[in-house]
Amino acid sequence: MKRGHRAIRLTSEDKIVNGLAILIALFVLIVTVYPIYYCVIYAFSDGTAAMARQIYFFPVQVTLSNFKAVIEDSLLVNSFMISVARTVLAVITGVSFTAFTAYGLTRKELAGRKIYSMIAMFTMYFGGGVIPTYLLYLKLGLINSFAVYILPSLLSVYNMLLCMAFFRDIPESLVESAKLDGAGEFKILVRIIVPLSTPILATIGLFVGVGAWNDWYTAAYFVNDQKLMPMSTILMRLVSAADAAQKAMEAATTSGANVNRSGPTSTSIQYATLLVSIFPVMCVYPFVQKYFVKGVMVGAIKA
Amino acid sequence: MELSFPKKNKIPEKRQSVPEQKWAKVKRQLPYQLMVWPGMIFLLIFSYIPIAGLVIAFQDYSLSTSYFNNPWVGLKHFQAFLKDSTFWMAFRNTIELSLLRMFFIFPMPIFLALAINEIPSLKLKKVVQTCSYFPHFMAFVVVAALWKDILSTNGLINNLLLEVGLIRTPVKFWTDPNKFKALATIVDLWKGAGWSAIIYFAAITGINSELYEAARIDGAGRFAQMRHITFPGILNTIIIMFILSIGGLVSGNLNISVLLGNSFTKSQSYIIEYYTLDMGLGTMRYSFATAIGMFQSVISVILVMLANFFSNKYKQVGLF
Repeated sequence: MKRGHRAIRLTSEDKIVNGLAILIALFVLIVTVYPIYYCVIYAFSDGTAAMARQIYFFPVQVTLSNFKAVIEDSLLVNSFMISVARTVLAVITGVSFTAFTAYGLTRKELAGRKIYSMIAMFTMYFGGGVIPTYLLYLKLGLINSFAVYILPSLLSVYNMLLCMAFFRDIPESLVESAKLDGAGEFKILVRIIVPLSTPILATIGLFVGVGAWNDWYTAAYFVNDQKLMPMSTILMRLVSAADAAQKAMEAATTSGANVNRSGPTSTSIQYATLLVSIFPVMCVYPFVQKYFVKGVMVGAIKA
Repeated sequence: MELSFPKKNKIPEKRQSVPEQKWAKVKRQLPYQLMVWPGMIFLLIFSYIPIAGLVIAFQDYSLSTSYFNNPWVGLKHFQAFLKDSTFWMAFRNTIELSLLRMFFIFPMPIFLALAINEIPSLKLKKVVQTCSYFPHFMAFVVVAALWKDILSTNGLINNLLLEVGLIRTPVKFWTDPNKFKALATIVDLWKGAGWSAIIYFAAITGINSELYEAARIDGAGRFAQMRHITFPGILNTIIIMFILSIGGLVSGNLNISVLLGNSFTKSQSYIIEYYTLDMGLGTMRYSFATAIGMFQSVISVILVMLANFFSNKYKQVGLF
């Protein structure tokens, strides 16, 4: 937002406000970025060396051994694959199903629009809770199956409302003229609506994808099979297992037993695992970022 | 009365095109109905069947039967958990964590949005926004693991404090129950504050820029503009967000409880959701756990409705 106060001479109040704002900005930047940076330098450091001397800004004895340990752990590699598979599938199915329903609901020709919307809205305020949901999954055979990652997240009412807010802004004349040209409903949806809706589809795709990638809960409570565990659930178990007492013991044994004073520790391997699990999100983030700011804002203003 | 019947019957005879028009209308909207039905069937299965499943809160449910073939026991399970001291511990923790969320975490994104909005350089503004959103996209598991290690007894913060000489022995951050709620709140804030600010940025973007022009001509400084234009401009959004947060008063964040809590801090970290899971999936007391969940969601809905009622009455902004 340009308010043109740079054209006019800055008053002392302007200077104070600018200075304060920049200070706060730098504080936010450091507090947000440093822990992630710390994760990166620790993951590339030799575990034993990093434990012997606290690192702050640079890695010590730069090594890939932590990542090697991650790759050699077949459980972790398998969980990474499961995470990738469930995320990709959830995004494709979730976005198309949600957009499909949302488009139908925004059409004025649709009889019973109000009732359909009320059916959907009600579920945002009231639900059956975890136990009836668990029992339903049990009856549907979803417990301990890969489908439990995909089916229940096909439709999110919140994402649907975001989509609907966006679709309503698409000029009706575009749809009308396509109809005059003899295009069917599905052709209109695929050829006209979808290309115009990239920002919102990318936004809900990001939400669904990040939700699926980060979800530890579903597998922790609804899945027993080790082969179906996603990375986040494996990580969650790693973290809960390594509680304070255990870590203290490990610190004592590594410093005593390791004569050559190098090699990965469970902490450095954990940091490498964390980094591996953030990495895909980091890769997608810059590309989707420009869309979601727009997409979320549309939803926020409408809501 | 009798006279009116034949008249009604005559109408379709007179205008023969009406059934055809109706048919055309049905045909025209059929594709849209076909688009909406799968979604509705999905909601009926995945949202409404569990809601119907709440009846087991009033029964003694066993896995081998269906929802409706169990002995009815009235409010037995509700009475049972209301007498359980573990429930009240979880209840107190849930409320306390929510109050921290409402009064400590809630104002931060507003403050952040107002501050970032004043940054003179557009580039810096973009960078700060982009970075501050990022933790929202990190898994809570990752965030928890990161902060657990940074604040562990041989972690970054303790080592730094030891080196500087502020402390002699490492501070036990995660095993001290008295520190749990403050730390959990800080981690939650770190993860979510930047992202929550996005809605206030949107509201600020919506403010008419002529208001600022007029204020400057009247001699208003930056602080005055912030107080009299920006803040009132986003006040409605703030109120709506606050109302939404009231509905969450009795809901806890399972991430905090499971991922940051441990056996040392259970007295401060155990929340209703965790209790429900332990009772339901842990000890298989399905009816008992459903009763707890139902109690919780009914209170939530009542809170949302109350908050909305009052806001409609006094502020003229509502959710519905």
